[in-house]
Amino acid sequence: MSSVLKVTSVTQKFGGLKALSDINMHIEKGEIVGIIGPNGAGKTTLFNIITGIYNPTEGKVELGGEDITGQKPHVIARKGFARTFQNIRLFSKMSALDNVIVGMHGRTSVNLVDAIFHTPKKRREEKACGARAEELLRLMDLWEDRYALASSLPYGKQRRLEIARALATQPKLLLLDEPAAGMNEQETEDLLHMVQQLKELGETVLLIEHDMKFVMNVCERLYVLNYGELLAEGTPAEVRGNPKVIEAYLGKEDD
Amino acid sequence: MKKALDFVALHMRAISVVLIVLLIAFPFAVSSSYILRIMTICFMYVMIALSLNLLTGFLGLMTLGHAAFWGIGAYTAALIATRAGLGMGACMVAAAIVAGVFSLLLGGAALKLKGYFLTIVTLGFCEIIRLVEMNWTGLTRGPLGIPGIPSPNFFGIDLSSNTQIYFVMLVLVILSALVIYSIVHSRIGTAIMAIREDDLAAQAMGVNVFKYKIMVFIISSMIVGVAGAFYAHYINYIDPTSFTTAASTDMLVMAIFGGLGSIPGTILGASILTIIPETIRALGMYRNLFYGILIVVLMMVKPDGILGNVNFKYLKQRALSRRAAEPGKTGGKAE
Repeated sequence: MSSVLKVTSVTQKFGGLKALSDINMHIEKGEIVGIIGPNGAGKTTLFNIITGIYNPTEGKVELGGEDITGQKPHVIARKGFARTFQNIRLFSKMSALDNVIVGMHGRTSVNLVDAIFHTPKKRREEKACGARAEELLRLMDLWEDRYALASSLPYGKQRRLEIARALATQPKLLLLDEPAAGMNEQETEDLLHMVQQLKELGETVLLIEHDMKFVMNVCERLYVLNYGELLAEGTPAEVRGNPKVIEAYLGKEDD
Repeated sequence: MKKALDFVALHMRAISVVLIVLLIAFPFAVSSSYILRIMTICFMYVMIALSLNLLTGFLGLMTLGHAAFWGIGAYTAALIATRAGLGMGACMVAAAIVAGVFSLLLGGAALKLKGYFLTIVTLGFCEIIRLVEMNWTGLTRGPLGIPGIPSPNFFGIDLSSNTQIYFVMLVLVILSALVIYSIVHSRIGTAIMAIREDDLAAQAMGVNVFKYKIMVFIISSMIVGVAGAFYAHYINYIDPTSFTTAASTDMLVMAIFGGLGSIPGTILGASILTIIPETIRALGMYRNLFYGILIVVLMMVKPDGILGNVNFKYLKQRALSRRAAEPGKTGGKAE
């Protein structure tokens, strides 16, 4: 079976700046994989390439064996890559429930005519979406806040709402961009359990994270980026023991 | 205040029905042709402001070119009615189609632009259309305008009395409000509001941003085109001075005054801003001053417009969920 995600020799240049060079990676179904690296290493750029926001200068991105390089973000989202953002990008003046329902957009099909004439199909689909959205909000422990505006939620809940919204697209791969950023100890702990729960549900996750404790606890494999290059890959233990990583990323003090 | 809004949210349907019944009864209670004409114009502006609110309030595209499509609709209807002698129904369909085609052409080229850039382009478009209306004398008779447009009629039935025209416009405004309400409260509505909030995130959720932008742009233009056709039949005479950017601004003011992204707000805003200038005619030359002060004060007190930050759908959901949670604690109310 082909990998859920396969990135082959991706290079991204912005003018003279080489943000990423010759990146290769793959993710198999059911895995939880992390990307780590110092600020400016190109982690978010890689996410943007995978989800179609950037078109890579060279290289190829495949989803389940299908080449999706250069396709539009909404097409890629419908094919199965869903993401969250480093700086939370919720639909702030919409309720938590509606935020999740937007996530189902690519999986529903009510058109203009159905909407205007309130066809049975529209009513059925709406009901199903509402039920599924409430289910996802329960999973992320947000059900109590389902009618609250996204902008009125506390930070940790906003992060979780973004994950619920991404899950609503029924992704083959969930990409989380710094899900624990700015969270306190307790919120990070809760998030850890939720990501582990996602694994039990069979989701495949690729995440960028700076919180090492979080990464080491939740990821099965890691990719380490530095200055746009792939420095190392392997299990958390392997990466932790890799001298190149220690030097470039964790520093030499522990030696 | 909060209780009142909750009440409205919970009984929105009943309130709408009562309002419609009152509006149907209105001409039988009030026979003054002056008042009926004001109400008719008021309905037309509600229809226009609603169509604009779909575009600006729900999708988030600020446009200063809405009057261009109103004018395109009016000219289409006027030309077809005076030259081909077709009835109002056919003219309205034609007006919707022609306005739709123009919006497709403009939208296809301009909707890649964002924010103020798009606003400037629509402003320019409005001016171009006005200049065409003014200078293509072979078609539009230029500044002379098109006189002798037949009064409203439907399949040969004359509908030219004030009461009949009132009902024609009432039907149009109700239909357009229903269409817009249905769009907003559907999968398409949540998608377009998501685009307004954050178009990149919307894309990442599988929303085809460009498709919805152009779809809403066309729908909005078609509705205002029909309003233009009505206007032509109602006033019987049109000339290019009606369809200027100043008219676009007036429409935008109505939508913002009532509240962007609120259908009840738009209805209130457009009604207030058409009726108030009439009620203060006694102020004579100070009328416009008063009108200006009113808008400035409201924008200072409530920059979101009258109902701009009131979402009746969410108020209703919250009120219902509170109610569902209550009986356990209070033992429920005997009714």
